[in-house]
Amino acid sequence: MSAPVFVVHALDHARAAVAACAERGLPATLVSAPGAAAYLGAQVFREMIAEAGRAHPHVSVTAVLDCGEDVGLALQALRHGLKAIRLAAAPATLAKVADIAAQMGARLENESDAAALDLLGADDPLAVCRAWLAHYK
Amino acid sequence: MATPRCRLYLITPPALDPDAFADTLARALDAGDVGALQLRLKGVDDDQVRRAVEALLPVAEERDVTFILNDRPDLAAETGCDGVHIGQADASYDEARAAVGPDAVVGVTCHDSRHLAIVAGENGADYVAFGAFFPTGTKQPKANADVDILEWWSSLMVIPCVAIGGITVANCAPLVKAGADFLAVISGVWDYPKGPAAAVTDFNVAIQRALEEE
Repeated sequence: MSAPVFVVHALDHARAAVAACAERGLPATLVSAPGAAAYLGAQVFREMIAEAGRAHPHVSVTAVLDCGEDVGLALQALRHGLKAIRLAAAPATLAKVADIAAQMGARLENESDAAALDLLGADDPLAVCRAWLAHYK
Repeated sequence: MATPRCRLYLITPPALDPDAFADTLARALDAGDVGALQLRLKGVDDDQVRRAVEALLPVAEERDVTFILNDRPDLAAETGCDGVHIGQADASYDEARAAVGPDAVVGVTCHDSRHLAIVAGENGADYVAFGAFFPTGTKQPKANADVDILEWWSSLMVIPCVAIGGITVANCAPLVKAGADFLAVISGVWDYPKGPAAAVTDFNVAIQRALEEE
């Protein structure tokens, strides 16, 4: 089963998503808000995801940082050890960044979050994650 | 908070790196009119809030943008914020006012309740906030507000009202026309496809257009 995708905006979102996936024996993909690299920063996002995963080390967690249209932030994210990033850029630029990412053992994603659970504003993110995963296929 | 027209009231993302966000914020505030900024962080300790205020307050001050801290009147007073925003489950209005003093801004969440808004106004709130007007992410809002409440409030009261909840460039016009003094925006700015600065510009265009259509 593919990993459910959660859009996380804060540490409690990430913790809730990982905890809910742990309960169901699922991996988790945690995606930042669009363009979050510009204000959250790669280091903070990486630490946020690591902290969330610490309570459930058996859960395979993939962190994806959305870098908006900023190639510099994308490269910075790769330097900070992010293994998956998103970037909106011209195809030629995307190809170059994807090549750099591959050389660093990372990847460039361009999937949409249409099937993702966006936790923005969730008062009880764990309950929201549990309810969503109850219908996840 | 004088309100010559409907203005933007930005709310920060719930998690941020203060130094990185300061640059993003500066560009956003330079892109168009913004009346207020609320620092609303989740899951952080007091020192992290202090560090964020230290990094972001000067950015707002330099641009004459009112800097409001969410939930914490004590920290708002300690760190020199212009005001505090309190929800119905946070500190009481009296506690907030006592902490920040008579000259600071105290804003109160009133959901979709006319009663709560009247009480807040009588207590001395500097603004009342109504919402949520639109869905936000997965949030099950505590209340679903209708634009009628903005029309009602603005026709009766001089205290500014803030509209909040899922507001975007595309859906803000009815709130502006209904009399909202401020549009409180989170993802509508920070997650805007063209970036936060473009969002501020486009919001101001949308606000102006809505006012001209009245």
